[in-house]
Amino acid sequence: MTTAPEQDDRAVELDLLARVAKRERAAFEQLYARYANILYATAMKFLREDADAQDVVQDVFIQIWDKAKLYDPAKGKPLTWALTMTRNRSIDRIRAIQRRGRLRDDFEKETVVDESAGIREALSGVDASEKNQILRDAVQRLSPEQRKVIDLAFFGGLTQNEVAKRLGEPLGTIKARARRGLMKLKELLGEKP
Amino acid sequence: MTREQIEELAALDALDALDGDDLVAWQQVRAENQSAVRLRDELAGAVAQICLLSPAATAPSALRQRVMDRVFGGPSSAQTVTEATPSFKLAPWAAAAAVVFFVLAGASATTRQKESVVVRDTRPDPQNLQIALSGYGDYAAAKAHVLWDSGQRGWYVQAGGLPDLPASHAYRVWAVDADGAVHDCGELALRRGGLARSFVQPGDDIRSMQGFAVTIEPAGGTATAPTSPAVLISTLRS
Repeated sequence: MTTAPEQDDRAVELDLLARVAKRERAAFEQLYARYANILYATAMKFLREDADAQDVVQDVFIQIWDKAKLYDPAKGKPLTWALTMTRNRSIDRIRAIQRRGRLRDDFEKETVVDESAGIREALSGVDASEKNQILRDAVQRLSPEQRKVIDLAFFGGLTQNEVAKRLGEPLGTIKARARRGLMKLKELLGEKP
Repeated sequence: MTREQIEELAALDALDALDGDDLVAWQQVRAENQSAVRLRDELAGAVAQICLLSPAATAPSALRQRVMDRVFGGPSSAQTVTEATPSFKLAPWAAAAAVVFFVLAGASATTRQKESVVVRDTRPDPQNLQIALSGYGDYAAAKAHVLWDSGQRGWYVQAGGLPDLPASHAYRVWAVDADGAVHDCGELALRRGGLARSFVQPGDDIRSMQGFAVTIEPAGGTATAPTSPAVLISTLRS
């Protein structure tokens, strides 16, 4: 399902990343121009606070500069790599914020973001581009149970055992839903590294 | 292990949701099974695309300048939006560990210049290595493990028994390389019940990492060296 423009994008981004690895400032600036809004939107989706989102995006770009030479094209698209870094840093920041909030308020909150927010908001987005419509359709074709597991783990930052406990389901059920959900998503999106 | 079990591990790793024995099992699978690694990468690529459905947003123009300053040097190169950078201070444990590691590595006792020294590592590949960290002092009940992920070229840090900290502070992971230099590996995000997990992707000298430690540092900052004694520290690798 990869389109020609997507392949062009990927080729350009691979070239930029290779040049960033060689410490080319112009390439880094071009990569920033391509990714900044996407990564900022992603960080905002998780964090909902401009200052926190900016810090995460700043960290991610510093990582891109520092780690570009470690990037392996066989492992995924450059944008996927950057999105994954943004997701992971956002989750880490949420945990730190919630832990501090928990201490301040002197009561225990769950160490998880609003578990229903991630995919639900993704599906309600107003971007009607063809690519995003394909994505949205793919997500909607997952079962509600599969979406829930993906939501809690990927957007909520819970481990498999935490998801099982949260949903009151056996761990084996959670594993099966994760497998089926992601395999289906991969099939629908035709994802290749 | 059945194909279905391997697919489950790959899916859960793509979701960053593996824990406990399954995390160790996955490290073994990915060390031996390249098709499982490819599947994991494809699944991770698929799920990451959901982020592209985020409501559109425009990064503030000031962010660009700050990123460029941080990367290329400039007036705001030490700043984040929410926190200032803590001051540099090499903690006693790090200095001591550095000396020990240095001797074990057979290296000459000179101060490392990070930017100019290329670390030549003659040790076995760290693949599948599991490094245990033990708690010290008030943190004696705490434990942690560091697992090398050859596919992602990074370390998983898992800890348990860590007490909550004041709002102003967080646990921070440090790695010590063969030259005794201490590398910041970021905050160790604490979950409920004293559990914590973090993924560390250090720079080119990952193969030379000889030990890990966890200290308590000001929360949210970007540190250059530990400012407090280690609460968790690994046994030395030889």
